[in-house]
Amino acid sequence: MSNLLQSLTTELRRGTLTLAVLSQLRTPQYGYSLVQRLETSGITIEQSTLYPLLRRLEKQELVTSSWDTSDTRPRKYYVLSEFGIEILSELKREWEKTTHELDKLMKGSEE
Amino acid sequence: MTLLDVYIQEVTKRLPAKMRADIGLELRSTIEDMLPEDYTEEELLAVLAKLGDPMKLANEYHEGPSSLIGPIYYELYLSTIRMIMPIVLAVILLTFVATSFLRYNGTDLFSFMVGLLGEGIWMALGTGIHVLFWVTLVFVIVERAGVSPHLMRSNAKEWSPEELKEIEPIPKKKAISKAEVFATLVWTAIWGALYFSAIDLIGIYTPREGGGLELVTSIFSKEVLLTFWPVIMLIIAAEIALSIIKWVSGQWTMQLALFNSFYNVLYTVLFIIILTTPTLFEPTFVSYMTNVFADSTSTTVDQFFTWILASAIITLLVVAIISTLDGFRKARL
Repeated sequence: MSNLLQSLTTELRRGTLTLAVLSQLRTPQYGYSLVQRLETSGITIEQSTLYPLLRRLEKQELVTSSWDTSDTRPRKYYVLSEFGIEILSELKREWEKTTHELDKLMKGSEE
Repeated sequence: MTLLDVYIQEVTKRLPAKMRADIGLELRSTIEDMLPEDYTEEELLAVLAKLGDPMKLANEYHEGPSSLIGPIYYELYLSTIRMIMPIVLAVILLTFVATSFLRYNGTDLFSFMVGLLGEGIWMALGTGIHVLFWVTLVFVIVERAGVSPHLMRSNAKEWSPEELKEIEPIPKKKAISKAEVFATLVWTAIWGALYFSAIDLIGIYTPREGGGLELVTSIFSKEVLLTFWPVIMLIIAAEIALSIIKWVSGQWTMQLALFNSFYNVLYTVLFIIILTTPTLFEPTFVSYMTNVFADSTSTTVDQFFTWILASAIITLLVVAIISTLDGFRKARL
């Protein structure tokens, strides 16, 4: 039972992760700073999911990356591309719509 | 080498070479971000535990399909194997049993049967593995090549409900049963296998003392027949193509009838060429027949051969014409 619940929860969250990550990339972030930002909002994301996800987003041209080697520790920064900004606002609208609809459904089912 | 190095190596060694350096560097800087200055081993272990199994992490980076045959092709894959497996097994085993019996030299029947059974099982296993392997390979390539399943639809378009109007129930007289196609494929494989491996076993036999048969002479010259191999392969390919079209279409159509007549013309012409080759018959067979006809006054051996060839050619023509006409008749129904 708890296994099933866990896999359903993971499935439910999977799609929202992309939105969560994109929303934090309006300003350049490197891996760990992104994790921290997400965690302060209460979103826990497995690190083993996050870094590959960033790479995929880059491949889909939603974000661009650059190495900053001015510090003693080189860091890879990710930031939204023009295209990424567009997609993010679309996704955001979609998300608001969905939560609104689901809210209504959930309230309806409680009665 | 520190534990950190080992961890990064464990991840990157599972990645494509061109991604390794970049991902390795990023991982290192991330892990160091998570650690205080002058960290202890426990602190490092705790951070690595947070990142998790290197194999899992490497898997997440992996692009492309993570299954050998994805859901789009899985059903087709299974039904292809279900279709091909029995045909190939039947053909291989039938040919094997037939040629074994032809080569049976009358020694101990029991040990012959046991040997036959043992070899048969071995052969079936080997054949099964071959079929699985090659079919799987083809599907894996198709999956990797990203062939869209829409391409497999006859009109290569997205499905629309309008198509339902075009699907008419197939009249029984027009329908081509799967059993018929199956039988044709088995037949193709059997004659193909016989042609290439055992044509010299078709001949004149006499009973041997103590049971069994002895081959007096083959009828056809194997060397001459084998020089025709490209022609035979062409016929076999056309036959298989025809069977596949029949299988997919499931009914006679004008295109199918046209292809069928093309196939009939092709094999008739090619077989007539083969039949009229002067060296087609084994010399020993010719002299054997000369002896048979030595006493006869009414028929000479030349007349005999002419008569045989003429009737073979006429049979070929009649069968081809009937098949062609039948195809067009059914297509027009």
